[in-house]
Amino acid sequence: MKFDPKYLLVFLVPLSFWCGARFINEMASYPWQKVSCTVKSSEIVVPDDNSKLRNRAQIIFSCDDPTVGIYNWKDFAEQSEAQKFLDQYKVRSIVIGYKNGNEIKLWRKPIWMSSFYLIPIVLLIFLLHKIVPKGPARSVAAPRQSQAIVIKSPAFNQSSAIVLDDASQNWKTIYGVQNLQSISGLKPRHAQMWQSIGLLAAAIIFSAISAFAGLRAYKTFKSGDSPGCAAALAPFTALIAIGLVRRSIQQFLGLLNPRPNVQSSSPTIWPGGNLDLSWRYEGKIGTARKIIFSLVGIEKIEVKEKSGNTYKYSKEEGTSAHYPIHESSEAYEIREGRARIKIPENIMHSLNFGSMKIEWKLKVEVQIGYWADLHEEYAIQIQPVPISGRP
Amino acid sequence: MSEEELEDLKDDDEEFFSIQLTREQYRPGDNVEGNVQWKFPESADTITVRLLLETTAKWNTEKSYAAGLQWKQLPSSGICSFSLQLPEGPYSFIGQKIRIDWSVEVECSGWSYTEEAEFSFSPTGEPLELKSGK
Repeated sequence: MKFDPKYLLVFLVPLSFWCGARFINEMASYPWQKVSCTVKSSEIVVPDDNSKLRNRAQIIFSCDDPTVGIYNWKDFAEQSEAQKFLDQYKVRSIVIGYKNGNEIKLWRKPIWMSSFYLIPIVLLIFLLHKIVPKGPARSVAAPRQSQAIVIKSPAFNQSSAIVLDDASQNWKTIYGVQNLQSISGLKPRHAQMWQSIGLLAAAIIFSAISAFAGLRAYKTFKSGDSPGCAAALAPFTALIAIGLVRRSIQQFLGLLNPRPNVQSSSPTIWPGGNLDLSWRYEGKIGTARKIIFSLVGIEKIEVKEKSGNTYKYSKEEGTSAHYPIHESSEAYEIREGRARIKIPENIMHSLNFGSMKIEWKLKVEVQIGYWADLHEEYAIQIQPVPISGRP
Repeated sequence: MSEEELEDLKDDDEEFFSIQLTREQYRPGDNVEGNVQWKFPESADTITVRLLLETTAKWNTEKSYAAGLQWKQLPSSGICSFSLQLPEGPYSFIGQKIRIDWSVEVECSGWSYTEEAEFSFSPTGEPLELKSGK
């Protein structure tokens, strides 16, 4: 069963709101006015309230501004920790205080720590960007027709017209009809290896974030503060890291699988037409359970944007489509077989027109028990239905 | 044209210029058929019919011309019928980043009138989308 990333929203949305509020709160403390204060006393006392932490580092101080408070404290579990903290606030030393109304705070979190609150928000934006479907550039309008007017008038037929020059476009080049069909591997081994290394690198980054957030949560909890965002973030990033490690290992194992030899005897294929395929595996494919052939189409554009005096080119991908076209669970057919595959009638042909591309791939997946599945992709050209010589 | 028909046209003073297609959906191998109708106070001069392909990639739209016909020295009113052969492709398409639309544009150069009729073209007749199938 595939995990739907939409379910992450249940967790990420409230977490993002909470972390966002904390981030705004943290940011609001940065414009606080800095005042010079002198420490009058700094000592460890036993709290007289219900604090579970029995070592209170208490600092009494006076500042330039007499209207503000003069007392700050922080609780610790260990006396040594409280003393280490108080070492920064020796008696008669001059320290910086942060004035917020009638209150002075001698410490605040470093600004870089506030950026951790942004991680769930960034993940939420990334997830929303991936799962929210985007509409086409224009609304889907019904074909427009001018209002019909019935008149009695002189009629002219096509024979009295001048046929204008042939089209301004060489139509055949835009969907690659000049190239005969060839099946060529898309995902060579070294690409798969780099993919695996990339996944591992991402796993290490997420593991580090998770470890740091976990440690931070533990320390804040131990010092009596609310572990807050760090505690919520740690398991979440750990789960992502585990998922990435798993995918990375799968990719490495997949490198050991044999490559299929796939041949096509169809020189051209088009919507509603047939694709004749044959395949054969050299080498062991272990406990292969199923072979699945699919067509995968994706739209791509190249965007040219002006940036200062230069133009910036970027590539964007749009929607993709996945059509399972053939599958078999028979062991003899998984190793070697042939099939005539009917191409769906309602699919778009390949396109290569200016900055626009619609690319099609034939994807072969062999599901293997107790081992990484085999995935192979081949570039194919789907052409428009030929007007002459239709089957 | 009979005298009676000409009299009918003279009675109606309203100026107009319009295009009609016989269908809104076409399949590979079809011809786009329709007619242009007009009525002006004086002769129409030249009327041009163009089969146009409009491609949109994100915000950039381009129009390409696929086929066309032109009538010259036309009277002040009349109907021109046309039948234009569609190329093999590209098909009408509505994607997230790419959009392909087909239309027929008619222009009366003497009176600066332009009208357009959109239609869809694909093996199913409907604009195609990249949608996963079963």
